[in-house]
Amino acid sequence: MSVACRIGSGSSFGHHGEVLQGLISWDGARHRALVTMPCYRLRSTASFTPVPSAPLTVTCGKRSKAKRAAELTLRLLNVSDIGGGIEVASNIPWGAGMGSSTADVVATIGAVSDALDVQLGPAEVGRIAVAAEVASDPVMFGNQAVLFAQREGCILEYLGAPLPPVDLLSVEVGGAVSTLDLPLPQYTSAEVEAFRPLMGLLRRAVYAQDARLLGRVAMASARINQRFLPKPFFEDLAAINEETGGLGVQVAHSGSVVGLLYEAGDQRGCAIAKQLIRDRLGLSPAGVFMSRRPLEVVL
Amino acid sequence: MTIRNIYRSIIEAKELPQVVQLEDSLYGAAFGLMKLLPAHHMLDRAKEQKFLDQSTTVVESTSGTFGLALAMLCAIDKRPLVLVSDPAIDAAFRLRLEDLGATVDIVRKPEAVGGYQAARLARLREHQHRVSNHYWPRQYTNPDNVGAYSKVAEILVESLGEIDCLVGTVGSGGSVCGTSRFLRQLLPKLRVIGIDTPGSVLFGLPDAKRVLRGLGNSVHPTNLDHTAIDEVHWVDGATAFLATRLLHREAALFRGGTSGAAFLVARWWARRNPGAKTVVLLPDEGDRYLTTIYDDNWLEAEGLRRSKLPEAPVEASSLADVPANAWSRFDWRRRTFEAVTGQRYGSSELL
Repeated sequence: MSVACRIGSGSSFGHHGEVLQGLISWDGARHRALVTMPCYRLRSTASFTPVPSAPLTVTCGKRSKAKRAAELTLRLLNVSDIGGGIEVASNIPWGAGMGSSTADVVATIGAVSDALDVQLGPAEVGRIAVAAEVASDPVMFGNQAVLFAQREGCILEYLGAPLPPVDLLSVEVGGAVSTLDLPLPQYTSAEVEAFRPLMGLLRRAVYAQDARLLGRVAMASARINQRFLPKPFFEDLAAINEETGGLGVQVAHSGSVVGLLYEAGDQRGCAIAKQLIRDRLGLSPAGVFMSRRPLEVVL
Repeated sequence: MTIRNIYRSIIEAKELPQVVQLEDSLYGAAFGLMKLLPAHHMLDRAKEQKFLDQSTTVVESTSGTFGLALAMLCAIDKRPLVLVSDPAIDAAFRLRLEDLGATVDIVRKPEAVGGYQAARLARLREHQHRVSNHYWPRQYTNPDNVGAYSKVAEILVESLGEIDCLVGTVGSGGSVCGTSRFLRQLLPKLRVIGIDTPGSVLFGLPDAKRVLRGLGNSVHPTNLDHTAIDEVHWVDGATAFLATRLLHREAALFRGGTSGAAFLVARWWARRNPGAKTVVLLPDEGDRYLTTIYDDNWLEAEGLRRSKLPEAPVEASSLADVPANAWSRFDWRRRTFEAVTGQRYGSSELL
């Protein structure tokens, strides 16, 4: 099929791990699912320069999943005679559980479909992403909070709004992992039940845009996860967060970063915590991320 | 946007409570029939673990609402059910169980040691020998009783956000310990008030005849985790019955006697702690008590008619101070049974 082609571009958010991740009972079955903590400053961008009858090439390190995503997208769009160059750039740390891989994949899918002048919806992007990389994060939904089955590529629940805004002091605690090399957590039946109230409070947190409630959910999910991929310094970081008026601690459940949560704009709490983490634990916090771009309304 | 879906059975439609505001910061979780929730969860989990196939007979010793819940579930599953009970079971209730297809087997004679409870368990064993493919849910020891209350915790935090105090009656320990355990993952400072009645052994009082039914116990269920409980109240029958009537007259909530006892304690606590969000679990409806709690002549004849509720509970500084015929309160402080009473918990074989 011959198609109108131009240079296409796409981009995607990264995230700072999850607010909640576990095995969720939904409509009579159990699904591995998660809600991510978006970080709008973490981004992957991709461009695609289509060339008729050329092979697909990807520049930038080991982006094999991006190449596979591009191939799958072309196949889905019924295009067989086009290749070309894909360039991916990203500021998302690799292998820390911050969505670097999915963000590359989603940016690439966006670039390819843009080059072919096709608009794909987030649900379609999600399915291609899971096909390209087995398990994906729901970054294709932007900052809309969703409960996403990361291995099925489908949404279990739309929470109806973005998560309440928070500031997040990011700490790398070591032990980067590849998502696919980790054994899948085997949750007990009591743990599966435990995720229900977490989802209940998360719905209230989103509905009321209440960051305190969000912190409680993140903390509870992080604690359950300590049995599967324990984060070093977790209790120390939780204590520092509490001492400095924080809202709770959040983790990348299959990654290596911990986020100390604060009310949006609580620079003082973040600064004191940063110093305490250096003094007491000898760790260097990577910096403060915002889950959402602050609204700037000019009247 | 939330879309309203169908319920796949009346169990799903009725097993969860409705959260109703009763006073400024006091909310009731009003169940139609609370025991549907644990019974449903226990049977589902048993199916998952292959303890239960399509032809398995369910056997249980009960004369209460747990039996009704099992009867409803087994009717829908087209599954045989044997309920072993004693002569205390009321006639209308028995008809309802039998109409749902349950076999209700009444033991006529108490055992010399262990009374009716022991006699019922002996009879239950006979049924187990007779029916090889059987399943015994055992609500007092089955951890899936406790696990069922995740759904209640979910509804409470979803509709109320943070909660400061949970009040509920204790019988098997499932509802109060289950709900509070799931809530405390999110709200570690939650205060938990358990309600018992004089004559019940759950919190260390001597076994005696109990006027108020539907809470308390004459045995020690392992599903009761004493270290979850901050404060225990014992409510006597007459006081609970008047509170039940008050709940009906003032809030139009037509409930059983356990709900009355729970409401009494929760309202007292909520009024003393204004601004603290208090939730009270209200287990079942009033239909079964029309000829008793709701009948002034019956109350009069039984010597249980009161005209005024006490303003506050009697403060008991030790278990020996707990009165037999009044509402009282004791600081349990999340201690074990042994730490408070000096006795071992759960030595009874009668579970």
